[in-house]
Amino acid sequence: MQDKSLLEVSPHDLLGIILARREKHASRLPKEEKKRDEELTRAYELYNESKNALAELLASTPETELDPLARTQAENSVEENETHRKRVMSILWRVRSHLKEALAAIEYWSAMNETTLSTLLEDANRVNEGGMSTFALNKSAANEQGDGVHG
Amino acid sequence: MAESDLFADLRSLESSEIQSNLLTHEASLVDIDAQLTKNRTLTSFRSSCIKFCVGKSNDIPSKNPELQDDLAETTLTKRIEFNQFIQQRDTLMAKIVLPKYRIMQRMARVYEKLAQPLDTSPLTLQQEITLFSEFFELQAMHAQLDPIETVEMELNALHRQIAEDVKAINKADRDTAKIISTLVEQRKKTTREIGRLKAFLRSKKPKTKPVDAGQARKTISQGGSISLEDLGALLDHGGLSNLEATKEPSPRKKKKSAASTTKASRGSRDT
Repeated sequence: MQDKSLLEVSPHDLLGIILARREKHASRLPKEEKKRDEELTRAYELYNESKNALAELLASTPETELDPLARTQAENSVEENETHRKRVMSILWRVRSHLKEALAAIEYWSAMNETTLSTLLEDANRVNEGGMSTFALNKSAANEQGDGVHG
Repeated sequence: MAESDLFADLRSLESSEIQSNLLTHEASLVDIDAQLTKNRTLTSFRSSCIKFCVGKSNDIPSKNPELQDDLAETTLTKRIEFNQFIQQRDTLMAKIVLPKYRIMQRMARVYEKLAQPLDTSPLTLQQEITLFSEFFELQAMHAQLDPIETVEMELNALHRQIAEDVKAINKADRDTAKIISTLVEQRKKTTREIGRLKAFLRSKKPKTKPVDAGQARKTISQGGSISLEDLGALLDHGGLSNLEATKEPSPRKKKKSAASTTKASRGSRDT
């Protein structure tokens, strides 16, 4: 976006842009959630299958006659499937968290009224009235803190 | 080597003419002194002006309407105006901190974060709120800095003008230095001429004969009358107290002195 256009963006314009982006993002998330949920179901099935296979192997053959290679393979399969299940679950949680965040954001930005907006524009209004910017306030606070430390 | 006559040109003139000449030279000396004072004050004022105008001093030189140095005074006014603009700019910058180009860079970044697709790096609601506020504060900061462009333009223009004026003042000051040097030379000549005229006039005064204190003492001791000048000379040379010492010894005293000589003496007999 060009410099001049940035100066012409109004709070309502930006509000619209944020809301549109949030809604677009949120519209994709349930689909993503469903996909990840199905993936997790599959991952659970794989994990359970490999776990049962290992249990069967251990139950069917006495300990002394057990083929070490077959046992290691079965154990590795369980571990691999467990890792995959955990990863898929983590992704699903993340998607759910995004969805929750998106819905909250949509609710917040949609419910924006003049009072809330003026709270958000408090710093801008202070600067417009000739007051100090947040950068100046932070700088001054940092200087005072510095003086306090050295004083 | 023959000595030239210092007063050759004056010998043919009347005393009154020389007196008038002396008065003219004395008046001229007063005039030269006044001009010297004025030019030295002017140089001093210009020097203070230049120091102030190039920022080497913070003391504003007080204007002197008698000096009539319009250029220095105008430059002084320009520098005062320049300092006011600097103060105005600094006050504004202290409130805003960031320059315009940095504000624009930051606004572009904030806008991009708020408008770009969320798939890459989704923001939390709190981050969105903070960025939203920051975007409009940056917009307000940019608007507040609008007068700075005018101030900067004024500052640049004034800076150029002051630099040129300082050059011109320096040139004028060099000319004044030449004038001062000429005046100093003139003063030397005038002072010398006044001294010469005064010396000649002194030499032309009738000389009074110096009073002979010894003669006056003799006169008074003989019972004669003396003039006031003689009395003055007497007082200068010991006064009247030692007047008795100069009296001739009386014959009676001499005789007494001779009779009292009873001592034996070798070589000759009195009887």
